[in-house]
Amino acid sequence: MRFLIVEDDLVSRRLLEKILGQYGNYDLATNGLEALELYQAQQEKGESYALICLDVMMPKLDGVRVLKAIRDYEEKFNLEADRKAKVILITALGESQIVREASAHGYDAYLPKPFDMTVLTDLLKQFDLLA
Amino acid sequence: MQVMVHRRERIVITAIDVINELGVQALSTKRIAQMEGVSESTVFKHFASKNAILHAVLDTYGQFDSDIIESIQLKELACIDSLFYYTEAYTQYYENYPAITAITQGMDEMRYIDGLAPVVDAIKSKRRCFLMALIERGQKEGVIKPEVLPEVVADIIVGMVLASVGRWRSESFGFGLNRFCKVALQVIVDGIVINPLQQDVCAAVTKNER
Repeated sequence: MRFLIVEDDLVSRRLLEKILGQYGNYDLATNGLEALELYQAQQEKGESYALICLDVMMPKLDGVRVLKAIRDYEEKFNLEADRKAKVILITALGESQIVREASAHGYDAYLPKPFDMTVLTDLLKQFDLLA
Repeated sequence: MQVMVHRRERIVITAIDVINELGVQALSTKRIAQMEGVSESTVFKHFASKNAILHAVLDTYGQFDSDIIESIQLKELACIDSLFYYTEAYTQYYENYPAITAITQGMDEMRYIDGLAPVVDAIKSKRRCFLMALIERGQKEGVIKPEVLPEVVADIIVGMVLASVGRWRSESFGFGLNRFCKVALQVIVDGIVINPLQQDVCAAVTKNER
């Protein structure tokens, strides 16, 4: 199982690595462009990320535009359900306008920062990702 | 990559990189086209002029302003905590995206470009006005001294961040911008709160919550 961590803050990134690293391998992106490069590379290999943890306020391309690009890609290439990534939106911004915009593109869960490790683990369980 | 990121978005990102490396004056549609590996006509398909690109750069620069303000309101933070949250939201973002601070430094220059003065002024005004509103709220709540002028404090905070960013850039990002600005903001806050002990209590509660 492979995860994608998209987070520019070092502390949050380390925490996500620690949690997700227990359940699978992961790739790291510190900005939105890098995230899409990794996502596309994975798809071109015929593989997919089981879960993407996606920060909103990020360099170059924000998390909402990354989310939109991913969902547009899934629709454009008519990906099967098992090739579509679960997306957890992570942000310190609260459920502000940008997070409401994100809901239009479809995320699977929202995790406010600073996030609770047990909440993230519960989400992994809910998504059946605790292999 | 072209599949996933719209050309228009890539142009704005590249424009920020150009401004960061060479300054506002160096930005041209020709240079962007070269860096993107496309023809200038491709750039013009998305932006009618260099000024239009700069407008989009400024939109990107201010894109989180409303969300940061709304976030503070949603979290119902105390006024001093709001000041720290507000400042840290930007300095943390700048620390993770150093190139965007070229826009912070270049905004005065952009005011002299056709059509951009209102955009620049709107961004600056929104941020300053929000800081003033926080100070006024603190005064009403009896946390901040009634004799301080909100516009003076707002300008001091904005000036502190601007000066810190300028030094950070000139010192090749060689110190922790976020940490430095937190320390500097504490100095400002210590000078405006009515009861330093009350401020310490707020800080301790916030620290425990974190």
